[in-house]
Amino acid sequence: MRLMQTFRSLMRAPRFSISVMLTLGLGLAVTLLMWAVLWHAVLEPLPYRDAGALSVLSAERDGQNSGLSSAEAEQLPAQLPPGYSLTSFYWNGTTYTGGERPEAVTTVGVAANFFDVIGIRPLLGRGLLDSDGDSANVVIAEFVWRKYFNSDPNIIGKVFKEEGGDSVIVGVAPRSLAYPGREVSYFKAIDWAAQREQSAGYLNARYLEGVLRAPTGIDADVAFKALMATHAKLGEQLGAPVQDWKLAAQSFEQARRGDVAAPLFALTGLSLLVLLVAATNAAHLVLTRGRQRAAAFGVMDALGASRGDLARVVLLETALLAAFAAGLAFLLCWTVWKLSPDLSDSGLAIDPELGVGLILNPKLALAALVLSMFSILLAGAYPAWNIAKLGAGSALRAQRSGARAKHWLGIPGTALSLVALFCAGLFLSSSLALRDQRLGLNVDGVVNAQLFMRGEAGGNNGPKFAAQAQALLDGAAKIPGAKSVAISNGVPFTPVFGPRYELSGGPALLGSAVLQTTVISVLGDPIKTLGYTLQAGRALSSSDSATAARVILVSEGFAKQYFGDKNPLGASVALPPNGSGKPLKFSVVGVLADARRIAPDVAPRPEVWVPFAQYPAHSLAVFVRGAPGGLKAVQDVVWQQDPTQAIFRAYAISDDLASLTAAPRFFARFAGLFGWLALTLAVLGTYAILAFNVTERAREFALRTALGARPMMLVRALIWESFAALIPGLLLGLLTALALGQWLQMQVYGAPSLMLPALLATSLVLITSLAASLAAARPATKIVLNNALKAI
Amino acid sequence: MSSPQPQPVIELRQLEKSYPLASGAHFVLRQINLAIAAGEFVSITGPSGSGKTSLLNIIGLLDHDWKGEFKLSGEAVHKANAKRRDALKREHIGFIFQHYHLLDDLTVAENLDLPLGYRDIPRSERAARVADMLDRFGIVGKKDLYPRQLSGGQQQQVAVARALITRPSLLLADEPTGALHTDQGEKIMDLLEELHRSGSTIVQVTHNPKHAARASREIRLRDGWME
Repeated sequence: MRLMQTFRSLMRAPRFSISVMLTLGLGLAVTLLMWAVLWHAVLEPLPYRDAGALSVLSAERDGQNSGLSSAEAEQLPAQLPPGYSLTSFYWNGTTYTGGERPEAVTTVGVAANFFDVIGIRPLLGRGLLDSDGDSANVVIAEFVWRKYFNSDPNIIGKVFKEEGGDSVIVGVAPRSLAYPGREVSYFKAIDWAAQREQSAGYLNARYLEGVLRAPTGIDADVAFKALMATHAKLGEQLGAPVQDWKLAAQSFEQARRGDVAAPLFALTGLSLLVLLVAATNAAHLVLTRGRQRAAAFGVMDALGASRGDLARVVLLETALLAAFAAGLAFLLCWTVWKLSPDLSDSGLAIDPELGVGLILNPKLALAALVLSMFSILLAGAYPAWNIAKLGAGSALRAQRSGARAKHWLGIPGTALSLVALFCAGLFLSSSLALRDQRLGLNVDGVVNAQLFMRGEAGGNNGPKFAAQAQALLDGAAKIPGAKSVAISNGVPFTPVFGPRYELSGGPALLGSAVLQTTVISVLGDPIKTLGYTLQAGRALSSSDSATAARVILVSEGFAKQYFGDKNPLGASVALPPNGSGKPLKFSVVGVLADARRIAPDVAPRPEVWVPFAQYPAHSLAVFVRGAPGGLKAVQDVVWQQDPTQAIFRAYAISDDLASLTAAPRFFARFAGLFGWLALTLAVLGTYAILAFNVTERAREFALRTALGARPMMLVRALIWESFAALIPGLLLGLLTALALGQWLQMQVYGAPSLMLPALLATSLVLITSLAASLAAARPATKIVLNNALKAI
Repeated sequence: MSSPQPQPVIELRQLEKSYPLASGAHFVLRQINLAIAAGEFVSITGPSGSGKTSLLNIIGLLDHDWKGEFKLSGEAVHKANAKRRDALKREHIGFIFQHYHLLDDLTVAENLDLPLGYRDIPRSERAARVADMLDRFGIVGKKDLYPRQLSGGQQQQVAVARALITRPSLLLADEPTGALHTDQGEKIMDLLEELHRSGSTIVQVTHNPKHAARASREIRLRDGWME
């Protein structure tokens, strides 16, 4: 009954109801959306048993990071104290041949205890066993089960067709595993016996990643000390290849989710500011409507309503509007999620197949409820209290005296919008700094197709790989419109391609020190194609054949760290044998300017280029610059050479670059959006307060005019009144923004300056508020004297 | 043996109300001593600004900012706290306003139900009382209409019904005919007289000497003093 009456009352005030609903709905929508993103990207518990007990392991030496060796990965688990377990994996790939075209897919080799240690059960079948190491048994990923096997419930025992021998499916991993990556097609047990057979590689090659599970309740530091002690013991047994390295551990959760928690918390805080501004505006609207209905409240009081009864009327109205606003917020969230590519491609660890589940889930519904209650309290509590304390006598008189909006209600709105704009400015500065970061290479308009050539890497297939690469280059050069083409096993902005070796013997390297270096085999014109800069010497050319003198290009950073002050041109660099044999010496013929090849926010690393013919690689990418429709053309080039050749990936490199900056861009865009929303709401609030007062004080202004006041005097007086709220709001906002900025500055890329965003945000709020005040005060100059006086 | 004097419904002693001014205090009511017995129909009259409405608001427990003694049905209002005053108001007072003050968003029936809702009366009894009141005032056919669909006289009729529905021991009317045409005003006065005859205690504030004369007693105020 009361609810229906309240609903009817709201229906009779459509402008008020819609304004409050839209204002709160907007505030709730942005907060809910950010909460949804924060929840899925940071707060949602990982789907692994006791995920807090997991750590990701790597190895460090002389400040250089690497993975675990096979020896460590195999022998450490058995020597760990009771209750501890360790698993490991390495990235691999294969060619799936069960489809229309061969398809290169990513796989991982894992220790048999992988699923047990990570703490997740297979969806179907079983995990891996030690005995699976020398078998063809694999556990496929859930997406493979869906995509290639149509979710066949009888999949266990069926065959996964691939080049070089089919695998037998013994289990299906659940989608929630998503580790070590969503792109992993299957998990195969590592054959430790085969690893041991490569005696040098078993001890020295560090390409495995480790995951440690500590016993429940054991502190991460204690667990790490136990691991270090075990590693030290192993080092004593295995000598320098293990002893020289120290293990490093990182929280599994942090490794899985990336360093996005702080910016996401900041963004969520920012969205809460928008909600606060919205709630302040709504509070003002509710209060204004309440004061306009003072007489009705007075009557209720006279008829026996208690203060609680009066407050309930206001709160019930606000609650009903907040409920509608929450519904609207869900709708807005869903629309934004569907329409915004930034959200679904934010670079955050959110399942891209989550879809509507991002918004429609019980946790979000609970958050919506809590936030709505919060809004009701913020928007309704003060007006309810204000109206309840009015009393019947004053309320009935208020009908005649007119109500005035509270100027101080504009203070929080002004302050909060300034803070929101300031944060947006900070995020934007950071994003721009990242965008404008000098990369040292230019991949605009460059497409590439990546493939693994048939045949064992490191064997006697080198000449064959070199011939195939040359054929691919010749084919690519014929693509119509191609400005330049190249072949390389180093692809910018992807960790998969580009092998790293430890090079020793440099004049600047002390003793047995080594320099971790990416060694890239190139063919064609990679400098022009990938936009590198040659600083000194000459580029590599087609004359640098397999039989010619071995030559090498080194990066500026490599030259400094390897040669020191010595002129690198003409000096020699020894690379590990390409296959078996002795190290190979190359003569430096050129120096490349440093390039941020890993990511825009990762400093350039030492890098050398060698002719493909002199140092052939098993994996390669064909690069084409400037060819319209080049992506299809470059794929065709590969398939013209060999129709059964699987292409691992084919894409424009700028897409990868864009995805690397997706998260900062997402932060900047959403911070900007929230900043503008907060400003718009705050300015509307300032306008509404002043406009309401102008209307309510029509008689006063008419009298002032009758007594000789000039229109501009009235406007000036009104603007001074609005400044009474604006100046404290600006000061409060500025102080809060600068305090918050100290922390936020440390969380975003480039540590942007605080002064510029502070100055811009203050100016923007000041100018827009002034404009809103002028617009609102203008009608005071147009009050028709007779009408205004008669209206009383 | 004579029967004991009935206890006055209202008893005011040395009641004063003032507003503070820079130069002292502006008195609205001065040394009011008044007793109104149960079943009386009293008119308070006087020129504008004489303190009529202020006195009615104090009697109706809408204004608590005054000095002196005030007993309502024997209970000392001047000693009661806010909660008790609210309870006394709900228990004893019915109010009729000059401008009817029906709530625009509520139907006639809902307006009648409103004061019952503030008194924790069970839903079934509330419905019965509303039906009874609609019947008694002959407005059953208008129960689903909104105030804007009624004439001024009909609205004041509903306002009287709303004031009576809680069965108050004291009915206060502030210029009940002030906003009505003569004929409609007479009808409302007939209604108040009828209520008086049936035993209700009524205090009305009025400017109209003819309507004031229809009460059993007239109290005149001038500049806050009782004449």
